Amino acid sequence: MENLLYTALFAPLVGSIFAGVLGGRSKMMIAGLVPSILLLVSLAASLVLLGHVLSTGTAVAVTMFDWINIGNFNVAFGFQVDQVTAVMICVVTVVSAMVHIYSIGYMDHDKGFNRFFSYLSLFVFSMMFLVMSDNFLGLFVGWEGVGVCSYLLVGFWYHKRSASWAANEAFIMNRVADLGMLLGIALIYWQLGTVKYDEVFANVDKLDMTVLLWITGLLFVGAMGKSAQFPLHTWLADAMEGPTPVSALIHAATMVTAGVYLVVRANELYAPVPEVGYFIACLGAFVAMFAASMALVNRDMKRIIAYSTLSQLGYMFVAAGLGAYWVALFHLMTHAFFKALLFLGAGNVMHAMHDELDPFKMGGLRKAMKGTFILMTLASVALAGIWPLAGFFSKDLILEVAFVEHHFILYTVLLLTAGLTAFYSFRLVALIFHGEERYKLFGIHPHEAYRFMLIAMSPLAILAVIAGFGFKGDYFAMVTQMLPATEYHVHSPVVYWTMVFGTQIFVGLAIAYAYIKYVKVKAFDPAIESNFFYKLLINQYYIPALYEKFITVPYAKLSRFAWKQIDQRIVDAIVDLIATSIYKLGEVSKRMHTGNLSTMLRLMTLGFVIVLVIALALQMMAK
Amino acid sequence: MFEAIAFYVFSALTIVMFYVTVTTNNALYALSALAAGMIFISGFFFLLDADFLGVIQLIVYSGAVMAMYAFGMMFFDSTKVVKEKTHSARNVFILTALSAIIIVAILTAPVIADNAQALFQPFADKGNVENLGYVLFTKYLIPFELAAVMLLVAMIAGIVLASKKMDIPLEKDAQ
Amino acid sequence: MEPVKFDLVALNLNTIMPMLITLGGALFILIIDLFKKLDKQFYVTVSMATMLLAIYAIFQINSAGRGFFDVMLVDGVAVISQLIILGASVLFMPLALTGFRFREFKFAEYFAFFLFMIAGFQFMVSTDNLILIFLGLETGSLALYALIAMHNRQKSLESALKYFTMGAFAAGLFAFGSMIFYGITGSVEIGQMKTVIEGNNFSNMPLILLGTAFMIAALGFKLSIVPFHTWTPDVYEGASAPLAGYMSIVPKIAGFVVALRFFDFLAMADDGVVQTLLWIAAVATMTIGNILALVQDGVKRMLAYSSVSHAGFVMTAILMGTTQAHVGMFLYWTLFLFTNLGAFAMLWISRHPSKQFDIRYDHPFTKFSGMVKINPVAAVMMAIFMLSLAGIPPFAVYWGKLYLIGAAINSDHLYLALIMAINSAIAVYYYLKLVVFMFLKDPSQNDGTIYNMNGTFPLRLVLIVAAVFVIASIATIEPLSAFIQTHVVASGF
Repeated sequence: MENLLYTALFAPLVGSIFAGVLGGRSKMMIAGLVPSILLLVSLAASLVLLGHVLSTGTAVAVTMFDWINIGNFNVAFGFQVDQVTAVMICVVTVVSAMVHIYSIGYMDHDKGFNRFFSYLSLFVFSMMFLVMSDNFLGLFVGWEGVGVCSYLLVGFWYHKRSASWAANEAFIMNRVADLGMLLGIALIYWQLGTVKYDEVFANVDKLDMTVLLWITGLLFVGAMGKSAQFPLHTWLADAMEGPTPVSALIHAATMVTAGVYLVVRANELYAPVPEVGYFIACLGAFVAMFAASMALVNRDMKRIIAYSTLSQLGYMFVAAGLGAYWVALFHLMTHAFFKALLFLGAGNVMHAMHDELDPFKMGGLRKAMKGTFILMTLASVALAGIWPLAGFFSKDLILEVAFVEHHFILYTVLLLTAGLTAFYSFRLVALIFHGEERYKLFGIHPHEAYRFMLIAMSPLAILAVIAGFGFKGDYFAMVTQMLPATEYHVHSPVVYWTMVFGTQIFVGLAIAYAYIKYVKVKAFDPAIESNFFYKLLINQYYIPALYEKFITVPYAKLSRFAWKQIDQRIVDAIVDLIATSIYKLGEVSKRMHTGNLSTMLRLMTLGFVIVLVIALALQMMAK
Repeated sequence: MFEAIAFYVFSALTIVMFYVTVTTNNALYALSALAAGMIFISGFFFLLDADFLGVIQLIVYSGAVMAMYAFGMMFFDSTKVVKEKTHSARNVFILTALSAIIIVAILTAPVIADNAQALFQPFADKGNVENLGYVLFTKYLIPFELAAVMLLVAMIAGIVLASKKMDIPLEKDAQ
Repeated sequence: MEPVKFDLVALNLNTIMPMLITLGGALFILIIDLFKKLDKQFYVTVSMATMLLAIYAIFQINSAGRGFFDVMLVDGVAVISQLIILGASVLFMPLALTGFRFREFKFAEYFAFFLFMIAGFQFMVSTDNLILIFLGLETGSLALYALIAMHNRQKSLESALKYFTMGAFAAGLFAFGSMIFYGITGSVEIGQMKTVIEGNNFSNMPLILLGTAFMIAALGFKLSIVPFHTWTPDVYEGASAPLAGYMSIVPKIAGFVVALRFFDFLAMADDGVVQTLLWIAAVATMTIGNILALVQDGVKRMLAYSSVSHAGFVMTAILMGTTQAHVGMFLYWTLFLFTNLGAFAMLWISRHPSKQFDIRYDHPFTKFSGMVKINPVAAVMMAIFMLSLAGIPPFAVYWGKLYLIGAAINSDHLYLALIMAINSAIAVYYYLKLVVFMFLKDPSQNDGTIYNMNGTFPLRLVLIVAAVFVIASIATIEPLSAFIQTHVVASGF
């Protein structure tokens, strides 16, 4: 089992190094194939591990070697695969293996083909490191690793100004959040003297309530950054500048869910402080609604999906915040499948449309791209939460959780958001695949993607369909060995069925409305632009503008001041002064060393006398 | 009483001789004064009942070393006045005086008088020469042999360096 | 008088076996030379075999302790320092097999001197008898003067003479110091001096200080402690490059061992005067060495001053007096050995016997301009040695610095630790200066062969060994420090 664990973890690293070695060369098919095959190996190993955990119910743990050993600070370099990790690694490897294969086709004509695979595999390695680590410090290393890879991949087309800007934004925002997380980990270490999960969780009750509040709060700040929760959410939409497979893998399925994973993983820390949990849930619900509203009007296909991701992350946080950790993890899993599928479909469309992102310029693509049409529709249905697809099970569960826990406001918000989700999903589908073939105006001849790309997407499609009803039972049985096994049942069958059918009907209506409204659209109607709500939403509630005005610009001014006034006038001058005076001293003392023998002998005598005088003086003083 | 008088006489003579050695500019004077100083030093050894060392002092320093020096001097123009490069006579004087005063002050401190005695004397009743021989061939066998090695090194070094010609242009090795 | 009786086993002949082997090798070379003139390959082989045999003999000493009427003292410290001395010598010896013909290697005496010198330093470290220390020191030094002078340059002779004169002066100081301590304690053995002085509770402090001052001056000369360091740059410049590198290591480790034995108990006196003296000396040495290295134009001079600074750095171990510090001292020196010898060997490999690169220096900084463009392998090697000397992780000397600064902090010498850290930072400047010259400037040469024109397979092998050690130190540091630790602890330091 240990070897399987190492295989699952290090196979992506090997792939990354392999592709990285070829990084400087022009496109080589092997640079894409080898990492993909290695990822399939990693996937197989992960599945075996999952099987092991599922059948025996015991975690696989290894300690590689003592990693950091400074004074009393010991961190063993250890990994473990328990129930939660098993789910995570399977999700990660499934999605990334498919994305890898898909990318071979998607990046076909790109000059940075080899480099892309090197980064992508490195990302997978970091993500596996993050989820497999058995301590907070290893988690943090993986956390930073995925951050770096995200930076590299968002800025993959670094010659594009917007891409490198987005990469920097993502990175810097995450740095701010990571500081919170690092402080949280430091606080844990300071209080408990360990960062290993088992030991930390075993000693939670020793912690002071205030301290625990701080720890959970600070850790959540880290989670907010990585999972792009308000107010650190702006980077996610901008990160869509990266290649679409990257968006599918990193910004939908895996990395952005790391925040949810952190909360789920640290559930024993959050359990004693329900007020933090409630805050998380409220924030989650707010983000769900807030992001969904922005998705309603956006005219950028990928951004719409990104906002949708944001919204779904909000759902997960609601579940996690209300203590339904297994539900959060479940939604994380199903969401990973259908959202990755949606993104990959969007990638096909982009390819077909020559990187056009505005759905108002598409329409009627279902004839040209039948496979993509089916897959994306499937993903949208799953996202909307229609029975019996995956989204239904996980999302409905979250609604039930909110209801059962008597958080009716949260419930209402989430219900409305479900409607919005259905609306914008089908707005997108209708605009892209149905109606008139508006793209003809732009002289584009769309074509279907390579067959193997569609095949690579199909496992995700199957999972998006069956992950709900197929896995729920086993999944529940497994993860609740670790996580609190609260079942959320609405006691009255009448209420329950009303809720289920009500939700389904509500969602169905939203879909129908979206379809009717957008299937006949001929072109984008500029009249709407003067609408107040439209303006508000399309400008993302003016939050980026506010950030620009109140944070970026003043900070730039401060930096300029520090550079011109403080650094150059004061710090540099002092440093220069020290340097020149040391240099001058050297020049002066160089003159002492003439190489004249008499001088040297005299200097020795002088030295002896000085030593003697100092010795006697010290002796006097000592008395 | 007699020993004390002898000690101070020898001291005064030795100091005067060595003073002449370092102050004179004439090499021959310096040499003769040095030889005289060495002979006076052997007087101290006799006073301390170290007859063997006294004889050695006479033979080695006054005899062999001085003869060697004199031999060396014959290669130089001994009448020429050697001019030493001094930057500041005052500094040199101050330094010398200071170190001398400190050393003398410390050495003449009364503490020394009752402390300077050997802890490990093999045979208190035997004479100086026997003791020396005994020590030299038992405990100090290794230092004794190493001294021989040292002299061998010095000798060979002298021979090699004297026969060596400097700054000969060298050709590239064939290998 | 009764005849002298002693037991052969009680003599503990093992203790002098390593020295006997080296001396035997030296004499063998001298005798062979009388009958038949052989070329240097033969002598190098004989010397190497002798030294390896001596190393083997060291490992055979399992009953550490005294021998030969208690004159010999082969404890853990003696074993480690002998291993360092012989290890450096083994690394040095193949450097004689140069591509060019250098005059000194034609003489069999060169190799004999070399072995005599090793034997001298071996004696120096494996005794606590001041007389034997003195004799060992002088044997080693005399041979070393001759080795320097044999390098075929006017400058070499001049520097050897300077070194000799100053060495004689230092020897006089050593004799004076020994005399005073003999006066105080009636013994010439450090162990007994310690017993006597501690027995009467440091009552003769002024006298002890006088003796200490003499000893600091005498040993300070060997260790190039400021202000007794003035000979260093001239002598290093006069000596051939590998010999200069060798001189910055072997005589100094011998000196450090004597200083360790001698000052260890003095520095631990309650009033802390000797400790403060050593503190001042060490700080002055590392700082002034650094500052002077900063303004040099010749790489060899820069390395000379920087090795002064390194010596000051290691001096601190003696004043701290903790086991960790002593382990750090030997560890540092072992790591420094490979790095410094490697750096000097890099200079050696670019040497021409008669042509000088520049009017003033053999190896000015400008010689290495843009080296990476014309001889990248050599440039990278040199850069590795420089980075290691600068104490940049993960290269060898970094670990030594870390260990010593850690020891300083653990023994509550916080200011000392701070000064050490600052000095390490200053040192980075001049080491990186060479790296900048090599990597960022335009080449001054058209032809990369100048950088290894003196190179042969043995030279390159030595360089590779040194470089591998420097790079792989991250892996070897743990067993190495454990080895040193056991030996240092076993000898009570």
